[in-house]
Amino acid sequence: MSVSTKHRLLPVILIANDLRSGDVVFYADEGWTRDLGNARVAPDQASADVLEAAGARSVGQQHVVDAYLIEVEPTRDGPRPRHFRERFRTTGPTIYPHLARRADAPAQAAAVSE
Amino acid sequence: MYNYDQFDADFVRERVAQFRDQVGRRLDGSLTEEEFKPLRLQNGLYLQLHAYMLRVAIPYGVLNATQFRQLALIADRFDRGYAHFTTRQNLQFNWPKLVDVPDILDLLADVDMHCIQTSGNCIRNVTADQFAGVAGDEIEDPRPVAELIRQWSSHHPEFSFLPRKFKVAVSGAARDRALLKAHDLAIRIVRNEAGETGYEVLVGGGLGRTPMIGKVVRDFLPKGQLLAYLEAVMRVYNAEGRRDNKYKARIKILVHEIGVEAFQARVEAELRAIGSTSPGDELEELARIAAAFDTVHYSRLAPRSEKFDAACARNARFAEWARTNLFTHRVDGYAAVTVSLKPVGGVPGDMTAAQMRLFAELAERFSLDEIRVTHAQNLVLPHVRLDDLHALWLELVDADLATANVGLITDIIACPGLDYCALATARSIPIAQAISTRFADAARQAEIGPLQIKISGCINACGHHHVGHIGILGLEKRGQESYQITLGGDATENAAIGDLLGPGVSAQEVPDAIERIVDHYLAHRLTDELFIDTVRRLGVDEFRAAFLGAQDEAA
Ligand code: SF4
Repeated sequence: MSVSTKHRLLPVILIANDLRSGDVVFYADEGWTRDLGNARVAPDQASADVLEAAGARSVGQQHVVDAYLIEVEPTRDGPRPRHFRERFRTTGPTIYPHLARRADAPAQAAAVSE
Repeated sequence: MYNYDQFDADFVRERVAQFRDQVGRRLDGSLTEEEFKPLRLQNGLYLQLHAYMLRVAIPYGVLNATQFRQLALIADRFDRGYAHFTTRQNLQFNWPKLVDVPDILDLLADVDMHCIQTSGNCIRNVTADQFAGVAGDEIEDPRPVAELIRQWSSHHPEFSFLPRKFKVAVSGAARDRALLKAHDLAIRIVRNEAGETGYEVLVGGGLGRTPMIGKVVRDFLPKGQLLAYLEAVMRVYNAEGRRDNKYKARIKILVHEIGVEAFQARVEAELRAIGSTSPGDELEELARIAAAFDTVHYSRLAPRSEKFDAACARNARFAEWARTNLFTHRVDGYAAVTVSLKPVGGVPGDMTAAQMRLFAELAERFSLDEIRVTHAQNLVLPHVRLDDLHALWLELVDADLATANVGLITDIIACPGLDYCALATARSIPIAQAISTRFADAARQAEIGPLQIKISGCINACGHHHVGHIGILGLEKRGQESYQITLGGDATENAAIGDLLGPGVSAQEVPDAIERIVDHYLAHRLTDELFIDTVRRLGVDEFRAAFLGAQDEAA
């Protein structure tokens, strides 16, 4: 499900699932977070490569699975995925408001840091 | 209910222990995700958009109250308080954590349940007519045959790595309620001219990217020869099914490419190679399995119930529900009740843990401890006394489970789509919600009559859109969700693949589009003519003209 490196529009963020819980997580300065607002945004190719390398490392350390870069557009509230699929991934199912992911959700014990 | 013997119980328990060990090794890094993925899939554990998803096998859709209660407990303890019934009579938990899955599997094993054969390129969980053993049009209860196939195929070493997954359905009835013709292989119990019962075997049906209707490869297979025949079919497929292209790997492509006659010839040759088998062994095994099913103890009742008739006369809402949700039982004084999991605006096939607990109790009180799951994502209480129907209905009303819409336009099949599924190209559930909200009015639904809408969130067609009277397929078009609408599909013994009506429409436009199709039907139907019959009589082209014409006006 990884995005082709060739035709990727910048900026990007790194998204994955937490290995233990399956939760959707984003790569941030201090490791992985469940808060999209804290995701580290890579504005250029060099920093995108750094993110990708961090993802590969983290997969190798059994912290996350299925880590890949997604295109985002910066907004006042933080990065917003360009593709609707990734937008749904970041918000949770659209059908049960009570299950939607909240940006202020406390990081759970399973959250990992590098 | 089929009762496990010690072998079955040990087998399942051993699998849980193995998986617990595998999860441990995944977490400590001894297994990479690449190595672990096939192992978790063999235990029904997927990784979806937001979380892991655990698919629990419900062989031929049959459950008892204890099992149902256990599923509710798992939903509460390890999930988010609800579960989802799928279009293959299975159940999915949407939010399990990997670290909890071994415990969940142990809880399932406690009640003789597991997640085996719910994923991977094996023979999948066998499905059956939800009214097995109940229907008046049945020649024979198909569940022992389904169980025979389940036991034969569970971890069959030769057929655990097939070119692709392999889905089997079984029915013993004249009418097809099990979507037989859309399965890789289907078995119908039939009677020949000499009055003997045997099996009609269909092969090569399937939906997905290349939808095909199953073809009869044997019109009468004598009893006792089924497993040898299945073995021959599987060997031909295993040897000749394409492994170079996963989109061409299902048996339907093989049958299509070489033709039915050539396929039959190869199966017969394989049968000769297998050599003579003793039908007596299989008959004996079938008898053993049939004996391991609980006997249902019915009471002797009158065919009519004054209590029921009086309740219908007194309460129009109850009468309405009885009209749509009851199915005639072969035993006098009983009815099979379909409990709709399609409340207006709700999520098709979802049930909360609280509803599940109550439902388990109702199954015990009113349905001789039996529950069935339908491929249309509803539940069945198969043995309810007519005398008890009103009391049952009152309980269902309280639990928000008394929607009177079985078979009607709001009884929509919808796959999880892009709200959960990692493979989805668009959402399906919100489309179902919007349509059922648009057609909420009970009188209008009754006026429209039987009409099946089926929605899939991608070309894999888990929502059976190809065989919906109206089918809806969610795709991506220019960065937006876009929905293709097909017309004229049929999921019964007259199975047919629907025809595309025109270019895709946006999510917002879908309810209007459906309404245009329905209005055209209402304006042109003959007295008492069903939707699907009007579509057949007028032809899809006429509906297409109406659909496109109105679309142009709207533009
Ligand atoms: S049809 Fe597609 S979107 Fe729907 S459940 Fe199947 S794979 Fe997922």
